[in-house]
Amino acid sequence: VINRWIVAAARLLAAAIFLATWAYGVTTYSPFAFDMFIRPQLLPQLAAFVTWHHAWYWAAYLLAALSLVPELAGRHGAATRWASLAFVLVFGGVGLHLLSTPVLATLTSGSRSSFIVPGALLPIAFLAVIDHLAAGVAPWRERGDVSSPPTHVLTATICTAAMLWLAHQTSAMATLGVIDGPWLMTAAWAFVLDMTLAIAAYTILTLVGAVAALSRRPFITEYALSVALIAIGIAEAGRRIILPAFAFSAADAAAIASAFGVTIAMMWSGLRVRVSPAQTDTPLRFLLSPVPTRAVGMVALVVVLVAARLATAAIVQVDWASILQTTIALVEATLIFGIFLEVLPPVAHREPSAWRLMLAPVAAIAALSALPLLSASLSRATNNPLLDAAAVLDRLPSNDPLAHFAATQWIEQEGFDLQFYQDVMATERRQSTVDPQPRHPLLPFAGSTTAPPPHILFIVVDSLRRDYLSPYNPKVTFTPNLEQWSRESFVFRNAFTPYGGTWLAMPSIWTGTAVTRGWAKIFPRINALEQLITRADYDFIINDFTVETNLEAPRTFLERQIPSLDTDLCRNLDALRAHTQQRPATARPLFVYLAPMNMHILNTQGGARGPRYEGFYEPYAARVERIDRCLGQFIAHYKEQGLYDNSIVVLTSDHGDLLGEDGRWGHQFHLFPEAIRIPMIVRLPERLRTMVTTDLSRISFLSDLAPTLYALLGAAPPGQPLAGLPLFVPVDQAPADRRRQEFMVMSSYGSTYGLLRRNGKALYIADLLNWREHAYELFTEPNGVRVPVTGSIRRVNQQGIRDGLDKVDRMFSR
Amino acid sequence: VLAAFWLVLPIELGMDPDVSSSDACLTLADRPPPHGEEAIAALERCLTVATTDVELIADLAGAYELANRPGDAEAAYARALAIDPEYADVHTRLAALLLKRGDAARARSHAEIALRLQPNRRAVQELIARASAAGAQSQ
Repeated sequence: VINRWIVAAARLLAAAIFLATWAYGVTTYSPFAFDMFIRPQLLPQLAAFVTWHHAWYWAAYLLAALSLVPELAGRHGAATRWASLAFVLVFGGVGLHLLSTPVLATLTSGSRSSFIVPGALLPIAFLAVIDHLAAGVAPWRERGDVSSPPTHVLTATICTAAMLWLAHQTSAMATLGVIDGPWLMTAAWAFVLDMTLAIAAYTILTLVGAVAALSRRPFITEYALSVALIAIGIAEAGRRIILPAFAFSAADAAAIASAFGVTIAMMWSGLRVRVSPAQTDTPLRFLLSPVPTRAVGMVALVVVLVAARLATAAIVQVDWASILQTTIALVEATLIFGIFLEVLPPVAHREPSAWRLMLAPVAAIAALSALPLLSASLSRATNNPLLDAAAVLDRLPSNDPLAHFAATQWIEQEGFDLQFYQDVMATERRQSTVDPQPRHPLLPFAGSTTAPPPHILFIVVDSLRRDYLSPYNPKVTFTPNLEQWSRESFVFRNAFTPYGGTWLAMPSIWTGTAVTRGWAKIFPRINALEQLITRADYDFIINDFTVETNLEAPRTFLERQIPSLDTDLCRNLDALRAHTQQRPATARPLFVYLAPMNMHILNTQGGARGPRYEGFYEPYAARVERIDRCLGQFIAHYKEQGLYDNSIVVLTSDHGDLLGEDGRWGHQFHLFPEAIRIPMIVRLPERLRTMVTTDLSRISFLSDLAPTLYALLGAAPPGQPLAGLPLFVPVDQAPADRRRQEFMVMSSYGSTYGLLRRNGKALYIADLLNWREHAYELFTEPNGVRVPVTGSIRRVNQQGIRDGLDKVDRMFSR
Repeated sequence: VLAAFWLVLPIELGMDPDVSSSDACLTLADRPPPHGEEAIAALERCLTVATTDVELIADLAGAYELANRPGDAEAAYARALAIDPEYADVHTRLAALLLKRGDAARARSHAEIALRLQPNRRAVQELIARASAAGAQSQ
């Protein structure tokens, strides 16, 4: 028994390393994921894994080869021996090749990754085949024609749902610290949804058992069908939940997820036939029970529940948290179901009739149908909108990820237009996967030659929220330097990012227009700011990890050795100060672009707290205060150097962030006001300042900044469609009116779209990842109020989103 | 049973009561401002549905002005500013209206707010100058 478990542990360790290789291959295969995570070395641990990949591979290979010693010794027959020998030779050869020719380190986004992705799964699948060969026919012969009793499956699924519901509600209660009506209503919804999910699983498993019972060998048929179900389940979770969030096309997602699902199901089945004790008596227990005895099962139950809670707590503030939470919840549910199959052994009695077995699904469907009515009635009776179904569904992701997953499958908002969903997804797939071709080349930059161009200093602080800065929120007391600096600057009060997430937001600053996810391939042809830098002969200094690798202009990269996530505005400014001190006084004008990550959610999960941050998320506020201090010191020094007077200074962010509002964190898929409203403060040299006017309350975008610089330097606009507008016009002109226009906003990474109308005061969000929609009015500070989505709001805004996507399509011919 | 799941689910959530004319009202403000009695009637009707649509309210105020109903226009501008106090053009238009109606002090106050939102704008500076002159004259 011990040997069996040692072999299983070795196999799991080896599989983990092979899967890490697979995951890296998948990440590099997607141009978006490669540019987002790999190129900027966002995760230093990943870079270390790649550097030492050959060593990791050999560790995995040796673990796997050692686990095959009994097979190589011929204890499991000739076929197994030859298969094991083939494994040792083939993958040993691969290992030798890797020693001389590292593969992962040389992978760039492209077709080579498409070999690595299936290749990394091969050893796992090979081992699974060996395991099945080694097990032979004994497991199946020993167990005869037994099938899983429906009552046993029903009891295990219901106990799983109840246990998970209890665990999630306990966590939610501990987080909230209060039991109120909305919480009780959310808990009721979660209970019904968890139960419905359990009963749906039970129905499918019972159907599988019934089909197997018709065959000549029910045990092996049910087992094989259940393995296929696991493969389908994993593949579907990957295809529908995980891969779309990383901009994979539908075909790629289906191929990658299917191969992964089949491999993992094969691996699990191989381990089961190796380590399952002989006495397991039903196919499902044989396949799914991860524990050998009831006693171990009770301990494992506690371990899995605690581990899942800890894992969920650890990632709650991480980007992509909702995907990770759902994945953890699904894995947890599968493990607990398997444990319950062991802990609750089947009772030998006559099975109830089919009609009685149908009661459970019918009851689940009835309860699910009744819930929205109950919610609406109670909401009306108590005049509490938080009891309404829409509000409950908003709280579900943070309350119970498993119930949220069920809700995304089974709850729709009335009239949520399937055609709209299909149209948008089709356009999105096209825009994500086909290389864009710009129809309208940039017009040449021809700025004024009468005066030397001013210095330009861009500071784009990743994830900086406007309502944490005193120029935007009088309750903020921790940004005195910004407060002072803003008095000599233009504070654009109604600024937005057109794209939730850095990947599209950052290039939109450079191009001054709309971009698609394939922007990197055509960047030099649409890059308005780079053209300005080159033509106006700027001394170009940069610290950025999104667009920098796609630039062509000669440049100085400040602190290149610092990984992107660690880039710090204070250090950047110190480096800039050192650079400017070394320059001769007559040097070319400066163009500086800094994109520090101080405020990124991966950096703001802990830190200083204190009374001065009351009402704010303290670790975030403390970092804002530090930035403010550094900015104040830098501007003082910049003035001393004599550079400030002739400088255009722009302080903005590529997007905001969710800091726990309604249990949401991050910005990747969110277009809520906290995520898309941004600070935008522009300081102009005195000679320009008095010559221009603007409208600080007019809706403005990051894509306005490049046209603004063109205008300030006396050049005609870059001439692209969907381009932003200059923020400033001569004093005798009226700023262009945008109040009657509508503007599409979208997530850089997932299928979330929004529309801003009425000067940015009306926001509609269509979250196609979760099939949810939201509407806001943004008149009140800091982040407006939520309003009900009426049919009119939906129709008008969905049409606006279609129009927005069409305009982008027309801009890039393909 | 599986078929039952397929047939009954997904459950559709209900939606807030809708008003049949509100599609047109939501997009009315996206077009150039209408005027005339008919336009006033349409705008007033829409504002019972789209109560916070400041563009509609500003359009209504403009239509009142053209129809020589300055009192209604002033009230409508004030209503728009109560919802969106940072609507620079409405401040400017209200200031001009107030100046025409002889209320130089309030005209100047609104024009100064407009100038804070549209710094250096010559038209607003001229309005302030006219309001200041009118104020001085009346004193």
